Amino acid sequence: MVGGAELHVRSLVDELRQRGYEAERVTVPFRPQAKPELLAQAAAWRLLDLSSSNGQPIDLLIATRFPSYFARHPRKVAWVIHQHRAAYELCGTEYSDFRHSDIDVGIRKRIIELDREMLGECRHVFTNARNTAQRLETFNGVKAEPLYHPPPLAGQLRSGAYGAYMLMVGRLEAVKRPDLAIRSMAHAPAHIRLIVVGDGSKRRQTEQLAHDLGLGARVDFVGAVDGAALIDLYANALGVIYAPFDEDYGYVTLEAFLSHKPVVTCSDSGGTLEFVADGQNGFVCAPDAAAIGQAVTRLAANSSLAQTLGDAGFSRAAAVTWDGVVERLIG
Amino acid sequence: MRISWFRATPADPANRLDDIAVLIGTLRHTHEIEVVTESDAHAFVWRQFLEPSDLCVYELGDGDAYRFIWPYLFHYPGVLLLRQTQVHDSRAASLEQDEQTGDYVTEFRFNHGHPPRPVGRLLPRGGWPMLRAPLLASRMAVINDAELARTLQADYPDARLRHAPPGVGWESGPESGSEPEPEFRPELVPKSGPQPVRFALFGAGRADVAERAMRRAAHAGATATIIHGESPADALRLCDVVLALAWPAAGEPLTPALAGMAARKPVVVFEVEATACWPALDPQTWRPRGLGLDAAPIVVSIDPRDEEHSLMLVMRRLAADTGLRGALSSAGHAWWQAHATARHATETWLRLLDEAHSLAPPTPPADWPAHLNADGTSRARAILKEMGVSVDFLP
Repeated sequence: MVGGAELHVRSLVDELRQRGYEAERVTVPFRPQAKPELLAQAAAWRLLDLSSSNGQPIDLLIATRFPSYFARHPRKVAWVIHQHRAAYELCGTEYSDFRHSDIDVGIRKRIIELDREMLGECRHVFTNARNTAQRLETFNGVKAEPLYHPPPLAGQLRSGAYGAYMLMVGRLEAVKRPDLAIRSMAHAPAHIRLIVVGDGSKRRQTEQLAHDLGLGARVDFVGAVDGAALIDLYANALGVIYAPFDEDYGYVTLEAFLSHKPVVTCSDSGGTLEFVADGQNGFVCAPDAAAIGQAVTRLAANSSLAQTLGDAGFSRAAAVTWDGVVERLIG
Repeated sequence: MRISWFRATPADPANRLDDIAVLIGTLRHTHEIEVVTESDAHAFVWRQFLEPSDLCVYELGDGDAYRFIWPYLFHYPGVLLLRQTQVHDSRAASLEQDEQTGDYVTEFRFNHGHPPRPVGRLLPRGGWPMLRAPLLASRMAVINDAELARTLQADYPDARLRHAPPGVGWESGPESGSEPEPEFRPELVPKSGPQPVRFALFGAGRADVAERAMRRAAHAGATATIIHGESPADALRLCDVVLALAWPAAGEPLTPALAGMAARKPVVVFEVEATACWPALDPQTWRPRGLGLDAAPIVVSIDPRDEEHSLMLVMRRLAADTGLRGALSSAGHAWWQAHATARHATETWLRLLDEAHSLAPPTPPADWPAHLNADGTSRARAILKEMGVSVDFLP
């Protein structure tokens, strides 16, 4: 499944081209789980001199996530989606595989030093959200400017009915906490279903959890779906549950709002909280299934509340556009 | 000076049985000290990058609780505060979490000059020192016993060993003698007859022996009891006699014994290397023994080979002999005032911290195990070497 970072880069390339720039996407496969390979992968990026291609000069390099900003270019800017999160803010949580071991401490020490050095080469450092900028300052002492951008489906999302289901969209990985959404259904009215969009390494485990909780009939795992199907699912949902742990930015929030749907999120969900205001365009709950279930119950009991909150969310999300973003990046 | 002090537990200066917590509390008058425990050690890496400490202190013992400290003491060389002279098991626990069996074998050989017995996924536990690597990684190593410091320095001539006395309590604090009387505890008072003398036991694994000795003493007519179910601090406060019986002895500080002296309680210890120079009474003869024959005995010391019997003798005698209890507590208190208060520890540590700050970490020897300073670049270096190229961030 294509994640938010890949969508972000593709959208940026499209926007650059629409504005008359010749833009190419440069990708190198990255395996975040292979800790002993992390710095070898960083070295692979460092070996890339992207100052020209096919004899043509390249005027600007826009790097996004670790370790793409290791690439060499005399005019480099970073629009940081995230760093290697397991070595930073996730370290010490269940979502990181870094421990108090000789190699892990050594790798983290190196990555922190190198991130600072490589980002220091950039003419400007931008981030996709305030949360990401805050991390850069906290962990690396790098000041960055948040630049919001709309999600790829922004122009196509629409509002529909407020049906009897909540929607959860995202990779089924531990840090996205699909289990919280599943468990919350045990605290929500029985006629409300949950539709889970997305795939990932935790899919089987999450499906099993729903089964074990006796919620199998109320939770539909539809896997990865195409844009049109996703737009339909958003359009007819009662609301969206989006409860990741310390998300960087989170397209899902904006996609829900652009579909006039309220978002139920958690107080530790990170960048999502830059958009969701409790009681105004959704609910900010404790990271607890019962609390999320109560929020869903409120929406289920009053679909006009869902619409009011969703409309407020739309106003917030509609203000996020590409206008000015490309100009800031190009400098 | 900004100091990061790694330890297994948070530092509560009010806990007089935690001599290092008291020391940290005192050193904070002159230095900025951040205590780093397992739960917040991950944050140390980026904090150290942004605002480096002037010095790191690693308080290392042999329990699992200390295992998280090892990677940091190798990556950020500082002062090694040895709480024991055998730290193998905490290192084994550290290496076991990532199944570093090969690294364990390499490190064991580096430390002891020979490989360990064959190992599996679960690493062995045992009484090995495993000290060479941490000693050679550190700017300085500190231990609370002067003789142990000399011995270790002789065993590891390339290390820098120093001695800092343990410090328990203040001359002007409650330990000065102004401590209130123990509170009245009805459950400790017998229904009738004389009040039993209360013994507090400090020493993991010695409870069974102490109980047997107490039964034998009671059978012989002693009116005494062992305090149960109290926190160490409460047991110290409520007791009449302190049994400071840590075994096996591996260089641990004698904090309960010193706390007992500070609290004016008679103290019973094992006769071990660390207590050999203390003026002591032998319970088998009730005559002075050890090196300090001229001084008034400050403790009763038990031969570990005759533990239960000697302990029974101690319980019988101290339960009955108020005068001896008083003499021991007075002499112990005076000795503590002269040698082992927090002031003694603090003065030494202030000097040692200054010295350590001025020292560079020792250069690792040629056979230094590579995994101790691994930083995740070995794979990249190997690939680049294969291709005959380099990148600027991997010199």
